[in-house]
Amino acid sequence: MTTQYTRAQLTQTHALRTVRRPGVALELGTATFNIFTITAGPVLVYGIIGHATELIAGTALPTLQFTPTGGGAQTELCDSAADIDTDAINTLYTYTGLLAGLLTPCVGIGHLDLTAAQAGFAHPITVTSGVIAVTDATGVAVTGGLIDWYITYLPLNALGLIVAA
Amino acid sequence: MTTQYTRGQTLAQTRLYRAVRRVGLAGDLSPAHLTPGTALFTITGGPVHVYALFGHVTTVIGAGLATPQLAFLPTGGGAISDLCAAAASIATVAVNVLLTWTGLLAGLLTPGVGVGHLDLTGAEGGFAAPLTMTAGTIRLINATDAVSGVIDWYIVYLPFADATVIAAA
Repeated sequence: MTTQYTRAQLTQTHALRTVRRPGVALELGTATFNIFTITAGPVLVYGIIGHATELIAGTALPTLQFTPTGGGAQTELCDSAADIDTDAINTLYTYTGLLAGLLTPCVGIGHLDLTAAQAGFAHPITVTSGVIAVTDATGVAVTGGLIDWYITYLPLNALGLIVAA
Repeated sequence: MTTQYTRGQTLAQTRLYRAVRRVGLAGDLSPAHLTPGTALFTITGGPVHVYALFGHVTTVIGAGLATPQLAFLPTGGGAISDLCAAAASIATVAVNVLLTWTGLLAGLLTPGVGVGHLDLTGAEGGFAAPLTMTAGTIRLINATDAVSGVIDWYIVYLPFADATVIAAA
């Protein structure tokens, strides 16, 4: 016997998704670099992770910012990281989900544990349609190194989507 | 070789998150909606686990004393009871502000500090673990002034059975 679902049930059904935004050369610096675009939000975001794929070379204190679509200024998702200059390949970055949290590099290369600042989100944050960007107002204008960014989310409708910017 | 599952084994027990949007109405924040308030969502075939329940301001909230709270009226017996306490006034809250609470009965619906996003700090932190609700209706109460403004409401849940569903009221 086949389980039958109503149309209402099927259109409400959602699974977690993850998007990768590859790092781009010379994008760590004092300008704003968009990394993810959210359309047909809100969405629930379960985690945002950076992955250094090239040695960081130069002062960089990155933070994540959000600009909503349709009204509202750009505001911080988290606080600025401590200087990540010379961070090695396979360093991972995340934060606690708190506005006061800092993007924090992992202690063990290639893995984040559940200790304080590198523990990631205890549960999802909620984000409307808009753009997530990396900014670094206090570093140097151009910093070497590459960071891939990953976001894991739950869309709340059939059109809810996050794409790499 | 393809793994086959019987209906009773795995497929019928498999659940994905579901989300429902209840579009805001201009009169939602009105003293006409005293207890038992206005219905936002109807749960049938419950219980469910509710992972998130939040509001999204789509038209700026007007001046006045708007102190919304959420309540639950079970189906088949039992009085309406609060899901959270009455909010501090949300008058003049801007478009794209989100509101949620901690999941505690003593929590307050609280606007996000950052426009368009809620973080995990204190009152706007959202549910650390899912809430469990039976069949019934989730209702919005605003026991103070009539205030203009529109809030869309979203609920994210896991059903416990095939026939369990939450619909916008």
